Amino acid sequence: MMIKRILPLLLCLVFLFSLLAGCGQQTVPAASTSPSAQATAEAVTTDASTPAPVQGEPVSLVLCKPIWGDKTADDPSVKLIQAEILKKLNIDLTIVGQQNPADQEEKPKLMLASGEQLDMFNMGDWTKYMKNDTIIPLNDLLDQYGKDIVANAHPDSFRLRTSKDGKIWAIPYEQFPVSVCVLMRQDWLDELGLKVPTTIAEYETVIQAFKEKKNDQGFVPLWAGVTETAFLGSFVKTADKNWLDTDGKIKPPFMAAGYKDYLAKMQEWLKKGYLHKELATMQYQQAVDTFNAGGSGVMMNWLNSIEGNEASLKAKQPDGKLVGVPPLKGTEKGMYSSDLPYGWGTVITKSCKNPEAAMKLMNYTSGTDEGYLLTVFGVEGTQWEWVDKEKGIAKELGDPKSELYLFAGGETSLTTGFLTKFFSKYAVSQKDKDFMGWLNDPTKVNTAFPVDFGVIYDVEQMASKDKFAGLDTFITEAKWNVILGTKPADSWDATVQEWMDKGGTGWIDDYTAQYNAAKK
Amino acid sequence: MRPKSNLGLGMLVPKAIRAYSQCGAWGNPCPISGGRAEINERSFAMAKATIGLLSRRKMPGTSRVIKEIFRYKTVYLLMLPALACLLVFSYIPMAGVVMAFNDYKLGKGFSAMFTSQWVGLANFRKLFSGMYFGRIFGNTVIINMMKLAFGFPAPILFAILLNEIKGNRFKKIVQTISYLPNFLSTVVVYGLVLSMLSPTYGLVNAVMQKMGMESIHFIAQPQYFRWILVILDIWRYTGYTAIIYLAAITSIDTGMYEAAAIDGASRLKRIWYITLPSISEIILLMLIINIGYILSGDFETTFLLYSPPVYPVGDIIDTYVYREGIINFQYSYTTAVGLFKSAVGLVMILGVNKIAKKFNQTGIW
Repeated sequence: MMIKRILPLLLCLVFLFSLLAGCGQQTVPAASTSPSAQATAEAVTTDASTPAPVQGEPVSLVLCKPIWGDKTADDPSVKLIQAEILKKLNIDLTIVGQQNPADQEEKPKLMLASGEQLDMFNMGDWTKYMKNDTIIPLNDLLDQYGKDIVANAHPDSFRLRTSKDGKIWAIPYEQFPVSVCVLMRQDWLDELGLKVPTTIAEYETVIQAFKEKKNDQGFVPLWAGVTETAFLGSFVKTADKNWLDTDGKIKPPFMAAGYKDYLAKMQEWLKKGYLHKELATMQYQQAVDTFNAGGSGVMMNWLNSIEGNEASLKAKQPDGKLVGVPPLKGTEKGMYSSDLPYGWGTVITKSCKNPEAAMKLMNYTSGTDEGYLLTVFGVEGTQWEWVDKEKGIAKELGDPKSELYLFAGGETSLTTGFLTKFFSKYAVSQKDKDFMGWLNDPTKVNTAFPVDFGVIYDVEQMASKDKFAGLDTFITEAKWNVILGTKPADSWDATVQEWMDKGGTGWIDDYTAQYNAAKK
Repeated sequence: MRPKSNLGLGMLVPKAIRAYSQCGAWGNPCPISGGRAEINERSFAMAKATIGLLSRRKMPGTSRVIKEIFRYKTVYLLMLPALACLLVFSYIPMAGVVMAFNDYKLGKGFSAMFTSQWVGLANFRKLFSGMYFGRIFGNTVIINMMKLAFGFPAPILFAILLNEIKGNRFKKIVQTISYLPNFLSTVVVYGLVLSMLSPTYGLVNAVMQKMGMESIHFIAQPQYFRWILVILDIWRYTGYTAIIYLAAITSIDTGMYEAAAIDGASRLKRIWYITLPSISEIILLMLIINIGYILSGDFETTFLLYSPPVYPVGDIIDTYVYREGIINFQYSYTTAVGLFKSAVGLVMILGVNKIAKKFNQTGIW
């Protein structure tokens, strides 16, 4: 009888306490990884840039950054680097991977909204975080703890991350001017006796051969709008960036001459199977898996390294080799547009409890040779070794299937920001160095900065800002209607007119006004 | 058959408990089934207490209430976690609706929720004047109405069919298999949908191609998208929701079936004249609850499956708010949308309850 009375009471108490416990805030995200905080700080001296070891309790920091490819933040290869950072800086770094190329800032935005611990994150537009008061200015921290970054960054990099009141908001994430490229299966080309295409017509011949001989399913999309990045430059002079019309107004890419031809070609390609049937719905991982499984012989990716992409392919297709395809000549010369180094960078959140440690980490990983090599290539001797130290050529140890293999130079790197100085100094192979050199040689790969490069648009101040979301939805749908064949490409002029009538004129006026103000 | 405890269900359906208690479920000898149930005063008293709580007409005076509470303290204690849950997750956050009327900035902290610049109805104006407000509102209502029309009767039908199965083992197997999809994560469901409907490796398209038909990219076609959502909804939730109806059916006096069978009623007639009327109250309750969610779509499934080509038929309030509100830090705007949805839900619940009371003489309160 007594048990019958006590049991419900106990149950109630257990429920109540679990409820209260459940209401408690989670401080470290579940889907993340962190090295053991048990390790104590040790003195490790390698060269002059190594920070002095710090004694005491490790400082816990959470960094959210894109981690692509097959790697996750839980990989042993990543944990090894975290352990080194703990040793060298006494920082217990937790990495939260962000794997959505369509919106690389989705994860940190959700973390900020939910109140999870987030100390630093990569982002592309510091202005919106500044306006929402979620990040802190870095001037003082840079003066005290970020001298190496300041010394090694491109002079323009900080200007593009500084607000009108002189406050610096982000650590630069510099890259080469061209960091996107269509990649093709070199081994398939060799097998079929074909050359890397340079024109749209040659490209069609290659893809047709891939379809017939290799059962190719067509170009796979790694992110929304990738076909524009890859092929629009073949039809539109200014590729996929805003352009300045003869009337002195800034206009979006879909209003440029030639956009209709691009849409007509995409419609034709989808019908012929030159674009993957699931182009409209395919998500990043599905696209990567399809490509790496040999389902497709062509894709486009952001590149820090061709080796990283090739290693990912080789893990599934041991004979797989990749080659870069230059911008294809169509009705226009062909161009991969560039807007880097623009706004990308790493910021420190307002909720960060130890911004000094965050800046020290940034300075080490972004501003020093040692930090760069550790966070991009991994632990020397375990994950990589020098091939030619003078030329900065390294090689990864183990094969791509190895647990500690990092796909060095790829987006797995844990650095908080890239500086071109280190980026061009070190490579994981001569092939990588040659490839990035080729991609950024204007005589070989046509590129141009957009006309409004460097203009920091303040959407909050725009009169028609409330219509932008609707306008964006309208034009996105309209593009897909043509590509999927629901509407003919000839209807595009009427679509653009409708966009203007729905409020696009306001968009043009607002952007033009801010562009003109910035140019003054 | 007597369930071990009907308290949870009874709290939801007081009349079902009353009916049940009258025929032996709570320990009274049942005149038809032969009174095999043993007398269990505590269970009976607990049920009475619950019924008493839920029936306004029988509300006793304050001192009597205190006495009753003290007397049935275990029951009230058991309610405590649920009440705390309700308070913490449903009532305290209600204070946040004030954000719908100001311009909240995330980084300003918790207090900014109440001190941010007052913008009145600006966020609502923005919502209602949005280029696609009509469409997202329409899509949400249409998809939910379709789910209601096809998804709501499915578990009732399934529970009735299941109840008619004689073999106990087979019945249990069917029941287990049917409610398993409810426990699958939405991402897994998304993967399953792709493996069924993908035009490159999907089973459905493979069969279609074998039959000489063209493959179809189902999830990117507006004419199929809503139906995919509805079918998924039925597949995922029918088995699980059927448990509620099965529990209600179990509480029906078996003597009535026996009497009807002696009178020559066919199986279909027994379902029509005994089963359905007996569970009508819980059907009504579930309907009213479902109507309350008319503006709340299945965000996760829709978000994973939709794409720009199907925005015209698949973009719902929740996905639009996620895209334009949460991701762009417009928390005041999203709060305004949430408040609007709640207001519509409340109106719908009150309306349907009133209609139900008018036609059926019964409602949920």
